[in-house]
Amino acid sequence: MLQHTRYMLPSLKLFLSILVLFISTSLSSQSGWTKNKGEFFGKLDFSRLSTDKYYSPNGTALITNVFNQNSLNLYAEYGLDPRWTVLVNAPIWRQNSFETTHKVNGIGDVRIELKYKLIKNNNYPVSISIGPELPTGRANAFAQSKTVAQERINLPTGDGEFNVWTTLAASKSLGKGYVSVFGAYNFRTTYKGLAFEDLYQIGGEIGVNPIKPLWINVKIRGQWATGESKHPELGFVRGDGTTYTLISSEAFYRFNKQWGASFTYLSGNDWLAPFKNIYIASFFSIGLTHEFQRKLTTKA
Amino acid sequence: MKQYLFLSILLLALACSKEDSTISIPIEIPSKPTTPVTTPSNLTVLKSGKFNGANGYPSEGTAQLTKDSLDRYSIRLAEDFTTSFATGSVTIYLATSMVLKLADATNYTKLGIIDKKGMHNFALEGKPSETFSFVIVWCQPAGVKFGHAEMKQ
Repeated sequence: MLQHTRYMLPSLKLFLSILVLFISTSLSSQSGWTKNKGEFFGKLDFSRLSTDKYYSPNGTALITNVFNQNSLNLYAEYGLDPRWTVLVNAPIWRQNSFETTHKVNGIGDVRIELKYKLIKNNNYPVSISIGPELPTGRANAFAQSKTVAQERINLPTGDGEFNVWTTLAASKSLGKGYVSVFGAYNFRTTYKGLAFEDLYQIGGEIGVNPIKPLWINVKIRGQWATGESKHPELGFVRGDGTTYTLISSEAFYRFNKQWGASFTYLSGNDWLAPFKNIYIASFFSIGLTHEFQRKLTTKA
Repeated sequence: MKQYLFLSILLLALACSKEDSTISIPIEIPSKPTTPVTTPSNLTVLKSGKFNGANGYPSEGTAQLTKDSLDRYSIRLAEDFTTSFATGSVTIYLATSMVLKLADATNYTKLGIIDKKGMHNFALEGKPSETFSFVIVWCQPAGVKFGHAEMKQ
């Protein structure tokens, strides 16, 4: 029953990558559960963000020209054995633009994560994961103005640096539901010699299973930086010093044993951490899921 | 063996001595390297001002209203000028207020588009009205102000 929680997470990950352009988070590993050996779950998710609400690096709320982002995200997890699960998050398409510019396209930063179940009890599992994020996205993608060719703005699809998320998560079964809490730390490195502030997150999730094929969950998460950005001139381009509080609600419906769909509403507020250096809006994402259990041969 | 022991003691003593002397001598370290501002000899500076950042974006340096020996006026960003070029190009405006009102063209003159720090010169058609005393750094694609300088005599 509670294996479900692992499916619910990727779309919020996508939300994050949209909101801050490229900053990946570790939501995919933010429950205590891991996959059974040979068990696979995959999800293809689409989101579109359109907003003119921008919070500057010092937290000033601004109305800017409208920023648009389309994003297609591929997420997969596979159980290596009862304790180990490998997770891959690949933003396979990002399209960024302002209403005043042409569009730029590219892939995002791919993260490959290894998750280990520290406490095996399925009623209150605890896991830790390490997720290196590779700078596979376009670190610089200049979108030209529609009217004046010399005017351009950098709307990268990746942050240009190698970083590593470490996440500790715990979950608890509650009859037809569950609760999860987590803490995560993102060790960021450098881009062209510029060092970025590390990031950390705290969050929680509650899920219920009102009817057999349907799961509904609500999540909240805050992100903080270890200090003010030392490079405010970079603005949103590298996501340095980005902070926020996100809330989301997701409905996940299984059509059959292999296929399902998810629908997620995402928004933000300042309940935990204030908005800094981020474009934000409420929006929806839709996803198609696929899962199977690989037949495992057993020794005679 | 004794020689090594003596050498070790000597090195230790020197190291301690060096450390002590370092502590006792006040060292003045400039907080930030500054770029000297020079004005060509054929230019007269009529007004100048320092840039201030806006909306969390840093803008620094000097803006000048200059006149040359042929009575040609220009807005000059000096060698020490810099702003948030990591985001792309910025557009420089001469305006009547620190708030750029793009809907009212009588309030501003577009000077040019730049994508590098340092000195830039924007020729004017004539002497600007006294009310045009603000030089504004503007991120045009996003519509966000990165800073301004108020020029005074």
